Amino acid sequence: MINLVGIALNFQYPIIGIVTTTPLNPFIRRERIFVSTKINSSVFGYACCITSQNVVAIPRGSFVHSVSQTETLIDGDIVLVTPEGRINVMHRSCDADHTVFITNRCNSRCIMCPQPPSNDPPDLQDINEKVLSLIKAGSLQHIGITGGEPTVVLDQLCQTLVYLKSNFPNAFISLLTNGRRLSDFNLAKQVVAVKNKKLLFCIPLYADNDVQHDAIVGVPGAFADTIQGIYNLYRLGRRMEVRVVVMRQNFARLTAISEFIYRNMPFVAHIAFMGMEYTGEAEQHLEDLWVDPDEYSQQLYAAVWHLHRRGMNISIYNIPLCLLAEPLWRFARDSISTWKKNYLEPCNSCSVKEKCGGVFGTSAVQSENISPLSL
Amino acid sequence: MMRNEYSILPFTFKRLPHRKMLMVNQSGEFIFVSSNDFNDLLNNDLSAGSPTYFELKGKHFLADTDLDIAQEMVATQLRSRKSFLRHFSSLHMIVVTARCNFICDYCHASSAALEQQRVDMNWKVAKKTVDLIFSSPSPVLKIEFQGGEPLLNWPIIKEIFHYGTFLNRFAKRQLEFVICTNLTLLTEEMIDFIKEHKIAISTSLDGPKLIQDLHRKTREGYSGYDVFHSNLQRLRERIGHDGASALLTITKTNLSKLQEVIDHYVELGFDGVFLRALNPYGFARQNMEQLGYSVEAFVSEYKNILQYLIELNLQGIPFAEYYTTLLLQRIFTPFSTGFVDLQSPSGAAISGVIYDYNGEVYPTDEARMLARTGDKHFRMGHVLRNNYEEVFGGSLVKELVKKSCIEVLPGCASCVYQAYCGVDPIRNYVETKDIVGHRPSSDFCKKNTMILDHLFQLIDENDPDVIDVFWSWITRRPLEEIRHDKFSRNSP
Repeated sequence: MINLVGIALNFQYPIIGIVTTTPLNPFIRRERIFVSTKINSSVFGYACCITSQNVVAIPRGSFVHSVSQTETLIDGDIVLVTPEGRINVMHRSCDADHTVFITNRCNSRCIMCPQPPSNDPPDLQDINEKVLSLIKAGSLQHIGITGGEPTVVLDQLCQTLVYLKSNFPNAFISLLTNGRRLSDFNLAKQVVAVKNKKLLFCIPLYADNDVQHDAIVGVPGAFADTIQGIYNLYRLGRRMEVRVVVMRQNFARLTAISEFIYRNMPFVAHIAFMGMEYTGEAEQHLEDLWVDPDEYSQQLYAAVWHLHRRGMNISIYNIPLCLLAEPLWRFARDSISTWKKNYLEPCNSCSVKEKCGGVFGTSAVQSENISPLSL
Repeated sequence: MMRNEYSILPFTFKRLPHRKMLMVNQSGEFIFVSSNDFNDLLNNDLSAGSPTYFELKGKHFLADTDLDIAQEMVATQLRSRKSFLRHFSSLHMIVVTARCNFICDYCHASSAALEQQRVDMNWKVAKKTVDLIFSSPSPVLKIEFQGGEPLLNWPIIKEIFHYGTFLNRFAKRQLEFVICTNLTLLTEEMIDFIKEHKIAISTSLDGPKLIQDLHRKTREGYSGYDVFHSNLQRLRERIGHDGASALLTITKTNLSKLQEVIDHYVELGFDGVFLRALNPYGFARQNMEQLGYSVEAFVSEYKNILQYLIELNLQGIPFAEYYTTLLLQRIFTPFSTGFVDLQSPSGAAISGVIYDYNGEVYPTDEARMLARTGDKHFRMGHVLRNNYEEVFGGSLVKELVKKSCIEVLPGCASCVYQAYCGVDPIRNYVETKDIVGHRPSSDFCKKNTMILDHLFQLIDENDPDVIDVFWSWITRRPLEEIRHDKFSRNSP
């Protein structure tokens, strides 16, 4: 997410609007945020104005001034401006992807959580709804719903799913959930009552047993809840993706996890092995968690091949090609969000940079084995 | 977590050489462990957190804090493995005639001479048979025309096809037709019909000409092989390559020449074979002296030929052995594999059923043969005199199901291979006059045990090349798609 900072003027509540860099007819300014280097008093009617100038003496209209890098804002971007002067880009105009951060709350306490849970600001739901309402209906190909844990705010989740179904009927929806609350069959039924045909439940599984999984999730019984949740979704005929995040705690048993998934949930549509993003909690517990993808490349190969032999659909997320055994390249996906994706200095001379998904720019550490390939 | 506080979930086991154990649980997950670990497990001495502890926990051999969900998972696996039971009989074999233009010396069906028109199925019986078939609740109905040589009664095949298709306009089942034929009587008109209605063909091939003509003799004395061969080509030109499959009968003659037989199958463009040992029915029973062989001899040849097939696949010639594939699916995958001749409860009557030309209904072809020799123990009923409930819900079928659950049969209940094996009550009855049978003297049991012993030896050896070939068979994918890389040598 791109964040800019400036000085707010004349408003007390967050404002959400669509960026325009060219002056508009006054009658259609209400939903627009005017971004310009030249702001004068004729800009009434806009929801807000953003400028790099230093503005002092304008009595009416909301402003954020003294903002650097306003050129990163493009026509059609949907931005949130706060009374503190923060400018968050909620949706890029050029993106066919959109992510809804539905809550910051969570019922798990994972040791490697990249976004540690916190309480929700009271207006979070309003903001999400407003942003969605500004996106052109039908313009999205893919929508991610994430948190926090979306099922914690079950009613909002169901409302959001209803809204997405009617406004973006053709978009694929990924719901990132730990599946624990779905172990209650009635709750699971509520979520799937909205018949989103293109809804995929993405559920993390860190081990093939409760001892290791629960230790990572930080809640006793989490493993049993997640498995039961997966079974309930299957009974309800839903599509699922299982996500295995690889870390020091579980890399030795990756093949066992593959076998466990195949034996107990062969119905899942897709299995993703994921490199870690070392930020948030993960950065705090770096010593315990850190393992270089290069160190587990053999285990990863064995685990992926185990499932590939069995005809399952597999992907590898968040690991650059130079750290993967070459037969695994076909499974590697460009999975890191645009605003987090990064390439390191050595990558510039790499011959497969175009094909590579890069690394997390947000990670506190990077593998020392990232080196340019020449093919 | 204190040490020693775990429950052991149900499993069966077997001691292997080199102080090793094979353990298999109820849902077919297996694990090799050392004798020491095995003893520790049983004595509750296995330390929580050890690699073996995690292996056994992940595969549901033991449970502690996760007991509830572990039971839920095993139950779910077991439910999926048994899901072939959900739909009831889907394979319906119809003997449209007992006549045959061949007189094979191993014939189970003890075929009748060509002039005996009275052993043809008539329209009255055929119509009632189809009505009965459509009373089955199964969403899939496979109608298989058998004989004798079914093409000798071609008109009734067409009648049954048209009537079945007509009924299916309302019943809306997945309806499939197969003709089991020696191909020698195939006319252009038949080929047109087969092509137009997408009927599958199953034929018999024992090997190259010399071997084929040795046991598969025509009543008129000409070479059956030549006619078979040219008709197979004609048929394939019209209906494509996958339309015809072949069944191999292994006699003393070709048992020692199986490699030659396989080469011939490859040459004729088949992509797999089913290695069946000769069963003691019909003519075969009378001619056992000339035809038969010991189980040991069969399994020893089976091992050789399996090795040969694996090499063939690795050289780029895709060719599968279907019986091995079936067993491997049960060993390696969590899916249901209903297979009429090897399941529990037995597939007799509840998965497959056969209708004789005279309207009598039997659970299997072997049961029908037995009736031919005067023992009508397995006669389920008659299509003209009994309705669906009487035929399929009678005491005979109930007894067959009750006494063919491998989980509770003497000798099977504690067998390590229980999860992968099945029951053949008809054969038990033929051999011991009791459908429960007697495992220690059963060739059926001996054969499957020896084959599974061999497969588990290969699984334990874990040669990635071999396992790759196995997976290409199990998942029916080209070998090159799943070839491992030299980079890694672990994980079966």
